[in-house]
Parts: sequence; C-alpha cells; structure tokens
Amino acid sequence: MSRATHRLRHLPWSSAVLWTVLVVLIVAPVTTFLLCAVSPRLFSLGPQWFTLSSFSAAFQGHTLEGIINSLWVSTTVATLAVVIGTTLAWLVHRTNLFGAKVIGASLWLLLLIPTWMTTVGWINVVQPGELLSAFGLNTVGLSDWFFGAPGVIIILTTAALPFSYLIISAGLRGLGSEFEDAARVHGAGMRRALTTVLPIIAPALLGAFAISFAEAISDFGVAFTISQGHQAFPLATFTLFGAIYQQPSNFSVAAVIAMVLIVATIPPIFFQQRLMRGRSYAVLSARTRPVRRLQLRPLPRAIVSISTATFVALLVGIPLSGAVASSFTSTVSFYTTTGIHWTLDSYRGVFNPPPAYGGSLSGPLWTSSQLGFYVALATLVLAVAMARRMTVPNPGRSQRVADVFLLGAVAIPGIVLAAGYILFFNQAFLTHHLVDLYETTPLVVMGLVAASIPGQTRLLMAPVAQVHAGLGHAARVHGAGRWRTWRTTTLPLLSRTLVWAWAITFTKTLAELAIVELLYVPGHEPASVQIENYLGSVHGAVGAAATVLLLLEMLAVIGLSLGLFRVLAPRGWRRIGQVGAMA
Amino acid sequence: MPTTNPPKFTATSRMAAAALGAALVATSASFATAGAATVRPHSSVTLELYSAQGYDSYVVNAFNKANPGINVVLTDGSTGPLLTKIAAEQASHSPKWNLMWADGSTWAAAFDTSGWSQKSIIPKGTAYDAMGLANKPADGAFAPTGVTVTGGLCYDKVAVANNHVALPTTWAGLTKVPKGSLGMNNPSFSGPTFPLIASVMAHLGGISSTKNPTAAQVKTAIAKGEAFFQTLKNNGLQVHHTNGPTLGAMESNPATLDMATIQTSACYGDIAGGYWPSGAVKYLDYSAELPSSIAISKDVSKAQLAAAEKFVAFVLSVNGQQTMQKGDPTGDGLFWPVISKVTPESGVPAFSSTKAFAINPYVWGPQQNGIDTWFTNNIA
Repeated sequence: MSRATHRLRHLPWSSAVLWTVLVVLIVAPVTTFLLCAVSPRLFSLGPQWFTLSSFSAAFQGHTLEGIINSLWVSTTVATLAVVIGTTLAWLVHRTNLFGAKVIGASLWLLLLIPTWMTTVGWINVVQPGELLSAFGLNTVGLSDWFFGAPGVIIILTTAALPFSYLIISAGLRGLGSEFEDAARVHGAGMRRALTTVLPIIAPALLGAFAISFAEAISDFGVAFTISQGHQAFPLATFTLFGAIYQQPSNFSVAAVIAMVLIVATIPPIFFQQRLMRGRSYAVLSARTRPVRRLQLRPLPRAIVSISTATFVALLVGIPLSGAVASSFTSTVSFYTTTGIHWTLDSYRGVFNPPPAYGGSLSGPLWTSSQLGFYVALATLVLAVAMARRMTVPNPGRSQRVADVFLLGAVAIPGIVLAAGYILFFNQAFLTHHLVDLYETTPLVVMGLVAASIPGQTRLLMAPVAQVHAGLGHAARVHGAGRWRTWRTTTLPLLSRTLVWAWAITFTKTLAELAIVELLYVPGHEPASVQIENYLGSVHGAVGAAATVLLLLEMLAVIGLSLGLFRVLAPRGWRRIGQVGAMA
Repeated sequence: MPTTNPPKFTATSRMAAAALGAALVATSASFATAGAATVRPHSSVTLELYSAQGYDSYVVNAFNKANPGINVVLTDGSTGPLLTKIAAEQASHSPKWNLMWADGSTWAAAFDTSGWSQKSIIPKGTAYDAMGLANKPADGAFAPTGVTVTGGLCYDKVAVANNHVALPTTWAGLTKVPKGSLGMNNPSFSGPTFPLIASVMAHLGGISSTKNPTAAQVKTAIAKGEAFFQTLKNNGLQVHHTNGPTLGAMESNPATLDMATIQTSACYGDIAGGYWPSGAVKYLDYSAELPSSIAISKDVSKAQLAAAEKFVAFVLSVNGQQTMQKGDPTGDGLFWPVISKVTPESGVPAFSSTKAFAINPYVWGPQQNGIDTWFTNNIA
C-alpha cells in the first residue's frame, strides 16, 4: 500500500464531511459578513481594501453603551437562568412535587415561544391601555420601569430558562440517587449533599450557563421590541440592527458589533473546558438505577408546589394572556377611551384579510410548516452527529475548536446570518459559475438549519454524553457494525429525546423571523413575516390572532409528533427511550 | 434497562410509517417545485418587485391580470429590511431586485447617486399634477407615485378636552404644549419620520426644494433643527418606534399621549376604520410632503426594462392610481394622487389645507445617517 493510499484511507472522512457542511452553512457566510468590518472595498461599501475605522466607530457613544449593556445583562440572565433552572429541575425530578409534569410541560411551552412573541405579550399586558388598564390599574409607572433593563432581564431570563432547565434536567435524570445517598450516609446534611452532587453535573450547569449567555446576548426580539421604547436602554443587538437597517446600510459597523457578540461567548466556554479538563462525567450505563425522589412532608410539599406553580404560571401566563386578550379585539389598544370592543373580527381577518394583505394566513402557514419539516430533519441529523463528536471521552483539539465554534455560533444574530447569506451565496462568481441559490427554498432551509444547529447540538450534548461508551463497545464485541451498534443501542435510548428535538426545531422554525424576512422566496411569504406586517400596522389585533393560531399549530405539531412516536415506535423504544427526554 | 436486541415493529406501525413516508414524498415534490415555478416561469418576463406599500399585492394582481406576458413577483416587507436586502445584493455584485417601491424619495435619490437605478423611467406624457411635478427628479431616476403628508398633528379630542389642552397652531407652538403630552416616531424605525425631521430643518434653515444649498447652509439648518428637537425633548417629547405604538399611546385608556406629529394617513386610517372615533387631525403652519417612489434596477435585461417601464406606466395611469386607492382603503390608499383627474379618497382633506412642502432628496438623503444617529442618541 503506497503512503498516499494509506493516508487517504486513514483520513477522518466523517469529520471532514461534517466540517465541510458547517463551513458552507455557517463559517463562510458569517466570515463574509465579518469581512465588511475590515475591507469595505471588497463589497463596494467604501474605498479602502483594509481599514480599522469601523472599530473606532463601533466603540463609542450609543454603540459602546449597547455593548456594555449586553455584556452585563447577558451575564445576569445566564446566572438567573442557571439558579432558577437548577431549582426547578431538582424540584421536578428529585422531589414529590405536585404537578411536576405540568411544570415540565409549561417550560417546554416557554421554549416554543420566540422572544418577540413573549415581548409583544408582555407589552399587551403592562403598557397603558392594555390588559392591566382594563382592571382599573394605572400602569404608567410600571410600564416606564418595565421598558428598560428590568423588562429586558425578565424576558430574556424567561427565554433562557427552558434551555437551562432542560440541560440541567438531563444531567439530573442520568444521575442516580446513589450519589446523594452516599453523601447522606457519610453524615452530610441536605445542603452538603447537594453541594456534593451538583459538581457531578458540572457539565450540565456550565453548559446551561454558556448557552443562556449566548442566547441572551444574541437575542434580537427583546432588544428590538422593548429596549427602544420611549425610555432608551440600548443593547448591542439593537445597535447592530440599527446599523444594518439605516440608509445606506452600515454593514462595516454591524460586522464589528457581531464580532464582539461572538467573541463574548469565548470566556464562558473556556471556563467550562478548563474546569472539565481530564475529568469524566459519564454517569449513565447499563447499571444506572432508577432515581428515588425526596418525599416532602404534606405542608412543605403543598407550599413548595403552590409557589412553584404560581411562579411558572406567571412566566407562561402573562405573555400568553396578553396575546390572547388582544386577539379578541379589533382596536389598536386593548382598553380604549370607549371601553373594550370584544369581537372575533381579528380571527376572521386572519383568513379573510384586508385587501392590503394579499391573502389569508393559510398559505404562509403552509410555507412555514414545510420549511419547519425540512429544517428540523436536517438539523436533527447534523446536531446528533455534532453532539456525538463533542462528547467523546477524550476530546482533542478538534472537539475544543468545535465547542468554541458552536457557542460562538449561538451568539450570531439571525439578521447577521441572513445578511451573510446574501453577501456570500449571491456573489457573482457563485451565481454565474456554480449555483444560484439566492431566493430559493434550499437557501432558506440552509439558513434556518445554520441557525438551529448550534442550539440543538447543545441541547443534545447532555443526553448523548450520558449514553455510556460501554454499551457501544459491548455491541461491537458481539459483532455489530457501526450502524447496527448505533441503531440498536444509542437510537433506542435517545429515541424520545430525538423526537422532541425534531419537534422543537420544527416549531421554532415556524416562528423564526430575522432570517426568513431577508431570505424568503418571493411569492412564498412565511407566516412570521405576515404576522410581523400585521403587528406593525393598525391591524395589530389581526396580528395577535395570527400569533395565537401559530402557537396552536406549534402545540399541535408537538402533540402529533409524540402521538406518532407512540404509534410508530417499538414498545421497547418507548420504554427505554427516555435519556434526557425533555418533559 | 438498555438493550441491543433489534426493535420489534408491529404491523400497524409499519403501515403507519409507509403512509407517512408516502405523504412526505408527495409533499416534498410539491414544495421543491413551488418556488421555482412562481419565480422563474419560462413563458413570460419575470419582474421582482420589492415593495413596502400596503396596496402592492392588489396592484400587482391587477397588473398581472391585464398583462399576461409579464409576471410581477412581489417581495412584500417593511422599507428597512427591503433596503437592507438590496444593499446586500448590490454588495455581493449580483442584484436580484428589479423594481423597488416605498414611501419617501431619499432612498431613491441614494440609489441614483450610487448608480444602482435606471434613469428616465417616467413615461413621456405622464399627466403629473403639481404635487407630482414638485417631487419629480430632473433625471427621471425614480417616479413619484403618490403623496402623503407627515408632520400633521394627530390628537385625541376627548383627551385634549379633558386635559384642557390648547392645541398649538404653529410648529414653534409645539414647544409650549403641556409637558409629556406630545409624541413622535423614531426615524431609525419609521420611514416617514426622517423626511419630517429634514423638512423641519429645511424650514428653519430656509432651504427650499429647488434651492442648491451650500454645505454650510445645510449644517446651519441641521444645527437649528437639532436645537428645536432638543427643546421638544426637554418638554417631555415621547418617542415610539412607529405609527402603530404612537397611535396606540393616544388611543389607549388612559392615554399616555394627547397628540403626536406623525404621518397623517395613518391617523385617517384609524379614524376611517372606526378604531379611533375620538381621533382628529390638525395641520400647523407647515408639514412635510412624503412622496412614494418607484425605481428600476440598472441591472435588468432589455425585456425586463420594457416590462418594468410598463408597470411604472400602469402605476402612473388613472386606472393604476385608483387601483392603489382600492388596494388599501383604510391605510396606504389614503394618499393624494399625483396624476391629474384622480381625486383622493373621501375623508382626505384638500392638499392645500396641509401646507405641505417638498424637500430635495439629493440634498437631505446623504444627511440621513447622521441625523438618525443623532436623534437616537439624543432624543429617543
């Protein structure tokens, strides 16, 4: 065998294919966008081939203020999300809390709702003339307080909490109660037992912090909707948006802000890697025992259950009630000078809209559903492959690079990804000589997959990491090939988690706005774009009705997915496919 | 307990899986072909129209019906995202847009000076009225298609009466209204707001639309305008993103605004639609003309150029203007037509009552980024 043939045979093909896909989907478009910061002439944006002037423009005044605000707000949000997420996960999975399943399901519901929807829901409650005003409350002071840093932190924590909860829940579920028991046997009290056990799920805690930070710092929905009311509280994502949407677009300054957002995610991930270096956190194996729950006495159980239920009900209920209430009126404000005007006109308007809105919502909903199906499928395949690579027992440089890359990618705002897609995939050298993908469905799907992979990989890493390598080794020893090993050990264990991951990607795609707004195929408007058009006009109530219907479709998709899993999956899969199952 | 045994699929689950698979294949086939069929038909000239007008889809349907050889495909959206899309397409050296249609003319003037758009697109013999002629560029690089007015004073009659507010009659009088009672939009989000701010600056600096001012004169006008808006801010001016939230603040109970200076067609829309029975509009000593404009890309083929000119000609015809009105009767359709013999919708007052004047988009367009940034940093 020649040396060249030997090298070729030993090339890590799977790794090469995976990285090629990631380069095409994420690295190339985002790098192209970031190049605007230093080389405006490359894109006919200015005369210089190389300049750093955009950096000085970005690090001053309002833009600098936005960057500083984003950093401290995201750190606060990530800390709150981990603390609250850990508490909720422990209560739900390790105690005899009343309604634990409902709490878990409610957090899933929160995960489905995009931040722009949550924010609009909160506005529909606290803004003067909205829901609280109808109860006779003067909300002018509350509204002034809310439309600044407090509101941003509350809503971003609400958005980050499900990620944190799910990742920590997966860590706790794989952790048998023998660890707590061992600590208690050696004389540890409740607090000491917890401080002994929590470090064992350090990967989950640190992962939850990192993803909450990245999600918060890249969030656009809240920044756009709340932080620029009449009380200005700028965030980096808002100034980035302003730079892109101003006339003419200032891609150079926007690229610098995007760089800051991406680089800001590196410290949390380095901290995580440093802490985990040389340690193994695999806890799930063939010998993992079922968890024994802490039996709270009746009174504490009732108090804790009511407090937890109230807290979660407020988080989920406030934005939902705002959106639902507004959808049953046809006025700009819910509570007007002439009272509340209850009507079903807004729902009629969704399917029989004013002539200005072209057609009914059913066409856009169908387009969004089709996009969701393909995006969820492609994301699932890639995210599982990435999660497997990221969770090998002895991670090398490739895994560490991928780890930083994935978290950095979570922090890329959708609008940057979308603009990067136009700048890269619409380059004349590509469209004239290779392939013209711009304004086609495949490019929209690619953009949405690129946005979904980082988050989904992070969510899947904890469940995948818990499948002990020994299971696979045993199968291989008994003669199973790679595919059969995966199909008969990992797949059954992860089956329910994978169904959830598919469903969550589908539903999040339904509501995605920043990417589809710039990339959608002309004549095939997705639902989120049409709803945004309604919400920004005097037909806001029709937008609220359309939002409610979109939420209902999301829930229906989740129900259908789980129903199909029950019908189609073998009984054994349903029994054991619970690793990291997210409900 | 984990197992390595092969999974046991039941006959029911196999049948359900087969049915699901067949449905997915059928769906995939229709989805994969849907976009291509709409965007690139072989038998006709396809035009990609990017538009932020409320009546666009209605107009496009009417035009496509009357012109079977032309297929206008609409990308509907807000002005900001559409201009961003075009800027990114131009930066990637492969523009796909063929026509752009939105409120304002500064973006169209910027397209012209950047060399992105065709010149002389206004059909010969277009029967422009005085408003159309006032907004028509000398090189015909874009076509004014209608006029709305921004900077009128929208107010709530009940709130003003209850709070005993005396409405001002001049722009200078806005600095003396009760503290916190006045609102306006942020030009970084609201397309019609920059022309309003530029008009105030032009008025204070004495710069008419036909004048070619020096850089120093423009700078002086901007300084006077900034001082004016700073005075409003000191008197509690409230800034919201767009027309929707500003109107909401006046229509809510309790109202957090008594009055706002915004695009008056939005106020007429709410009043005409019955959403705001106590709403009213008052014009002060001047207001700003806000033309809607349409431009054609420089990178179109000959066939596309001919088709695009036909579309522009339709929009500038009596039939086209009336189609625009019918397309959004309680929103963007409430404009002042720019073609003779077309009258505005009922409820829209005589244009002379607005005392509106046009600004030169080639003078004020290049100032937009600086002014928007200043406003966001200091007023919003």
